[in-house]
Formats: sequence, structure tokens, C-alpha cells
Amino acid sequence: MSSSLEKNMLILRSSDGEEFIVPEVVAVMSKAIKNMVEDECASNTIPVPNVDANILAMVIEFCKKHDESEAEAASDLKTFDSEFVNRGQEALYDLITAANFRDVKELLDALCQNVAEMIKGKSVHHIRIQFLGYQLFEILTSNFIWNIWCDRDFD
Amino acid sequence: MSSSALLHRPQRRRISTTTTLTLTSAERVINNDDLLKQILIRLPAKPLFSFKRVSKRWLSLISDRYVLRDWIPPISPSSFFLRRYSTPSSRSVNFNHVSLLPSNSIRSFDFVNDPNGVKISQSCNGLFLCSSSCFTLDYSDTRYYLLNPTAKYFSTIPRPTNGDDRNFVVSMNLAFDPSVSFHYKLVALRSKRWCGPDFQTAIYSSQTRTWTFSEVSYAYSTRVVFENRVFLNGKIHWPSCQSVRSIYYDVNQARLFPLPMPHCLLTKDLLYFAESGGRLQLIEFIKNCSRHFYVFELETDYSKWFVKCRVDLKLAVSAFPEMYHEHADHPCMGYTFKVLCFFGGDVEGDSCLVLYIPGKVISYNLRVLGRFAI
Repeated sequence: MSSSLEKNMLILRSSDGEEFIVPEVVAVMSKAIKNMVEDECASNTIPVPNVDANILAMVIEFCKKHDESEAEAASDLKTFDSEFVNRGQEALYDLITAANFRDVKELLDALCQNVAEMIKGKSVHHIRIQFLGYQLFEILTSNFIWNIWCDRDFD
Repeated sequence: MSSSALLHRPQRRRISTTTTLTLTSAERVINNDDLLKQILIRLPAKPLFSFKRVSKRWLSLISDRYVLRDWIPPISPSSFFLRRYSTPSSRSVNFNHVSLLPSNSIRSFDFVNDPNGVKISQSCNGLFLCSSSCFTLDYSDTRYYLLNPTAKYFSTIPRPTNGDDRNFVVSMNLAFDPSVSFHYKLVALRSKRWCGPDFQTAIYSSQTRTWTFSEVSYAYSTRVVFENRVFLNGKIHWPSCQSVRSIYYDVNQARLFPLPMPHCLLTKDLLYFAESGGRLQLIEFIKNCSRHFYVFELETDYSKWFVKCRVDLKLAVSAFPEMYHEHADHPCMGYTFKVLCFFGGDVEGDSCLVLYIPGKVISYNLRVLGRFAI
């Protein structure tokens, strides 16, 4: 199979074993993969652990669009980015983890911007429940003096 | 406890062993300091600082100097201050501050208890330099203030005197760039009398709270418009009238350099000189006339000015007919407006003018017309 592969193509294998054939120019938008390719420590198939097929497909879609549209107007790309990051909570944060792990800067920037837009209107209480649910018990007990001080001082 | 100690504190074993499996994707992201930082630096200032209350970890991250350094400030301003007295005799006190956000309340500088009221003479990265007299007019009793309008904090700046006879302050200028230092500097140009033949510089640093005097004298040109200065990239720029040469002052090198002007401007009253997107912009208007004008921008190497865009306010006039009044002598006279601000985006069409027309402040885009009533 690898012999029939075109020269500039790479195979990415997701954590659940699915394989994606992508052009090298697209794959190297991930700095982590770029380093592997440059160091020639990558065989034709590059494993992408921690990223499942679903998320990997999204990351590839994003990279392909950014690779194709280099010459296109920046505003078109902006529209694409804002639509791309507009996803369900679970996928959004999985994408952030994947983008961070694979080091895809453009994707990470767009995603973090989206999260910032989502949380900027939220209350502190809401943020605690959403992001620190598992720590809430600890926060409420060991930090209760801290909370009292904060709530008094800032409200 | 230092912030680094907080950041690198290992998670307690109780948590990591019992709850690792139940972490949601969001929690996994937020638990990563680098990712949380990437999100935090994209928040506007108000939510950012209110999120200090979320937990100790968020507090230490948000208070971290290196996180704050990377913070991305909002692209568009939320409000404007106009250069007016805080306690004028006229009725238009409310006019000092124009908010572009509905939630912002009108601000005044009443917290500065100066009997004459204070007037903004320069705005610089969130700080104001104010004085108790009009424009550059300087008297021996003129007081200078440094103002933080957000924190409602002010400090009185002592007059730059070192015993010599240069008692006249030609121009007081503020240099403050929080991305370089949280300390500000003031640059005073001192002369022996109003329009004296030469001036010397004096620098005030908020770190030492003292004036440092320079011995070098510079020739005085009345053509330089000292009251209209722009601080950008560590340099204070002044435009000039009726001259193709002006000056700028490099704060780090403590020296004056020549600055080109696009052409011989006529009057200083009709000059717009400001900064947007890290570039200097200049507009010259023809008195009471013509809705057409050019926006000039200075090349980053200071070699020459180029025409950034040509503006025709035809659309604005049709939307706001009060801008135009029939003029007997000449049809193109009779436009009443004042440019408050120009934003030049990188993308064509992002450019936007904020105009004052009688009774209103409007923002004028090439395609979109937004209106903000006062």
C-alpha cells in the first residue's frame, strides 16, 4: 500500500486506528508532525496518539482549508474559522487538546478565541461549575475563607 | 507565595487518583496552564480581572506578569474623551466623554480637585496628561496632572525647575508604553519665554519621581504644533504647519530628530494627527469645505508619507443632512463635521472614521454606517 502512495502524501493514524491520507504540505502545518518529517524519523504512517478519528478529521479539514486558501482573501478565511470553531462543547475542547498536542498554531488561536468569546459574559460561579467541577468540593472547603474575601472585595 | 510556586505545585494525590477518569474535555483543557493562558489573554479586561476569583490557580495565572504581557487588547475602543475642561462654564459638561458601549457610564474628572478644572492635553495608552490651563499656554501656576481615568487615580507632577531662568514650559509630553514598562516618563520642553529662541528638554520618570535636565539646546520653531503630539514606539511626534519638516523626540536616545511632513500644511486648527495600528496618520482639512479629503500615513522607516485613502463623505451627508447647510458663496462650503478618530485596518474596508456632526457622533465606514447618538 505504501509503495502505491504518491510521494508527497503521508498517512496519519488516529488513536482508534483509522488512517487518513493527507498531502505532506497539509500535515506539516502541525509543527509536531513537521519536526518528525524533518528529522526523518517518520515512516509513511505517522501515529497520532490521543486524537481519535473524528477529531483528526476535523483538524485535517481545517489545515486543508488554510493550505488551499493562502491566496484567498483573509476575510473568507476568517468566516471559515468562525464557522469551523462553532461546535459542541465536547468537540471544541477535544480539538483544543489535539491542536495543542499536535502544535497547530492557527487552529489553536481560533479555538481559544472562541472559548474566550463564550466565557467572557459568564459569572465566576458558572466558570467554576463548568471548568472546575471536580475541584469544587475542595474550593468550597479549603478555600472558603478565600472566597469570602474575594466576594467581599470585588462585588 | 510566589506565583511560580503556585503554578508548579503538584496536584494533590487525592484528586488525581480518584477523578482523572471523570474529567471532561473542558476540564482537561482548563487544567493545562498553557492552554488556560491562551484563553485568558483573549478575554477583555473586565472579565479577565473578575475571573481572578475563580480559584487560586486562576488568580496566580492572571496576576502573572508574563501572562499579562501577552494579553491581547481589544481592537476597537469603547469610548472617547474629548479635550475639554472638566469644570467648564459652558453647559456641555456631558460632552467630555462619548461612550460607544451602552453599559459605559459618563465619566468625569471631578476627582481631581482643581479649582480651574483640568483639561486633557494628551492621552497615551490609557493614561492622561492633564493641565489646569488651556493647551500649551503655561503660567507659573499651571499645574500638571497624570490621570488614570479607569482607576480614578491622579498624581500631581511637580514643575520642572532647576534654578535656571527657563521657567516656561513650551510643551509637556507623556511617554507611557505598558508593554515596555509600567513606569511612565514625561518630557518637558523648557524655554526662557513664550516662543523663546531655543529650548531644552527635561525628563521626569515615575520611577524616581524627579526631573532630569538636559544641557543641549534646540532651536525653537513656531511652526511645530506642540499641543498636538503622538507617542508611538518610544518616540514623541509633533506635526508642523507651513513647513515640510517637523521633529520627533526619541525617549530612549534622549534626542530630537527631524520628521518629514507630507506637504506644507496651512493651519493647525484643521489638522488631524494621530496613530492607528502602529502607524502615524495625518489629515488636513480645508476650512468649512469639501467632503473630500486624503488620509496620509507615514512609512515605518519615516522616509515619506503616502496617501492611505481618499475619503468622500457623500453617503454620510445623505444619511445625516444636518451636516450640510446651504452656503451662498460656494456650493462645496457649508459642511460641518470634525474627525475625532481614524482607524485604519489592514484589510481595505476595515478603515473607519469617527466623526462629530452637530448633535451626534457617527462612525463612518466605507460600506456600513453606524450611528451613535450622544
